[in-house]
Amino acid sequence: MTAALSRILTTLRSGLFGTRANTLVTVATVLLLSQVVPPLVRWAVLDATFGGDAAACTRAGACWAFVAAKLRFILFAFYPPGLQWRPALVILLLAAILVASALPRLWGRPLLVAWPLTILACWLLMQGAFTATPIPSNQWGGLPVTLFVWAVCFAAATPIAVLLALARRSTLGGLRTFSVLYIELMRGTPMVGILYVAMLILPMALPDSLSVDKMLRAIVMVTLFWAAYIAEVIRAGLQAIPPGQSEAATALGLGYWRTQRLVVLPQALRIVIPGMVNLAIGFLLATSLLAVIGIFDLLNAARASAADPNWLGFYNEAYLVVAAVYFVICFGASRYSQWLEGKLAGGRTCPRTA
Amino acid sequence: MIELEDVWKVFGADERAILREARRDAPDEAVLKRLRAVVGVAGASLSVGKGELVCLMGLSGSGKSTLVRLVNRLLEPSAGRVRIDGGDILSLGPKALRELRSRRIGMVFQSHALVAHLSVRDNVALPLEIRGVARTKREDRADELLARVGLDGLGDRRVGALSGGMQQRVGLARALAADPDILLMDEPFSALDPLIRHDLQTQFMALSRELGKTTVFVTHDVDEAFRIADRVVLMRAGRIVQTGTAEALASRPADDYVRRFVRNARLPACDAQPSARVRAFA
Repeated sequence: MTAALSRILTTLRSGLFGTRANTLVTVATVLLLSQVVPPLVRWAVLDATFGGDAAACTRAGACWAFVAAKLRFILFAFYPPGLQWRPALVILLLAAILVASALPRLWGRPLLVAWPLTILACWLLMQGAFTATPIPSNQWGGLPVTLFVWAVCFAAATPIAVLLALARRSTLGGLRTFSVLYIELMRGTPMVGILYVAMLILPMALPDSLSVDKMLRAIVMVTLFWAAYIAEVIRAGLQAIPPGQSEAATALGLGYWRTQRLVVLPQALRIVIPGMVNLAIGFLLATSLLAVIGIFDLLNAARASAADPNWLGFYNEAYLVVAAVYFVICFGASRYSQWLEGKLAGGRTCPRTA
Repeated sequence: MIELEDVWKVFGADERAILREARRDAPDEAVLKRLRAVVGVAGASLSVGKGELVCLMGLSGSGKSTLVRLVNRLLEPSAGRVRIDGGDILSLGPKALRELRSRRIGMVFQSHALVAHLSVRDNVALPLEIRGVARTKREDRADELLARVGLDGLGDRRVGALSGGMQQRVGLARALAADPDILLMDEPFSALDPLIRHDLQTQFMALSRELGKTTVFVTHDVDEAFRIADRVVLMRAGRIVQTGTAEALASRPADDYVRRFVRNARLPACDAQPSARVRAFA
């Protein structure tokens, strides 16, 4: 016990004060923390208000009572309160399919079938299917919108991205040129620009009789936009597969598509999973840009919650809650990516006894 | 069985122009250079009898790996004819060609040809899966072949967990899975260390003798060629320089290139002479 303790102390001492530079950094960090932490604790805990209404909140400390009162709004925004079990169910469904997709054990055909079904179920739930009054998408908001747009766009963009990546490596010149132009065009445009196209230009381009829901337009454009980024990541994976692999598959009598499907893509996609997760994290945060076309995603809902006349101006608290939600998802994804990388690498190189 | 008649393979942007120049008696090197031409195979003719094991031998860049790829049209010949059992394979459509590759021609490569995410058994069973053979049946066949190449009980391993020599055995088992008449082997043992290479040669000769597959075997190793081949085809700069048995090449080399090639070669001991096999299958 004492031995373990002294070992920990030794490690700490050498880590914090081992060299002159380490000592300097340690002292500087402690000084900085001593300036930052006490006011933060005072604001978040000591002077904070945990209950009551807006009048009970002092401006000196955090007003967690606001969060308690408005959490529902932050999560679901303007969705009709009586029907909020629907978006709650959507969150659960999406969480379930994401977790299922994250487990290598479950990778296979059933999952590919489950994805479109889940998306369809979520869309129907949000729309208020089987109720007297359908709920238009401008009443959707909060976390389900963020998660839904993210999951749908990423799921739909991936197959498009695979085709783009294959096209970019194709021997057919026309196809290759199209793919390069498409990818460079999309990557050279900011996502806000793409959202404005969805909002303003797409309705003009479509005939009057064909009015497409704003949410759907945004989803389509974001999907096309993300596909370009994902395509480049997948192309990197395709390039990592030795050309001998396709040659051997051809020699076995496989045609182009079966070679890609059975031999090349399964290996290439495994390689790029960490890169894909990295993209997915960036994309989740990018969904907050949906606010510019008036969609109440999580961040926008939080902003709107502090505009309630009864609870005016508690932006800090609202944004902190949202930041925490984003952080939990992104940190989880990042840890998952590391775990998976280790697992896949282990499966390839570690010898197993028979 | 396999007949190649005056086949050419040139690489470059304008195959026809390159071919026209390369076919002249004295090709103009400057023209070929301007066309950025690479002449892979230059007018090779060769026929391989049923059950015969022919080695294509030559230095790197002599066109031997290119030539073997013309047999199953992994590369399209620029000119010439390729026939298998008298049937012209250059006239086959994509579907018939895939059929030919999956049923009649097995191929083994030097490296990187196994599918990394599949188990050893699934790799061997892949050609059967392609043909729609039921799971239990193809797995039984795969296990049988694994036992044949000396890998009993390793079917559940990942291919990445095997050594180079074991991976080549898996490649051979996979090439045999569809029970093809023809085996194409592109330097299958070249990347292995000498002891393992020798073992695999011995095992391959026994297997080949037993199964009587018509085999085209590419190698740059003259000892390997002399040891296993019924007939050796020596190539230089895309052309076939000499064809004959190991003894013929060693005792009557056609020119200095052949002489230099075979000078230090070991002729196989009498008991390893494979020519008896040819007679048995002729």
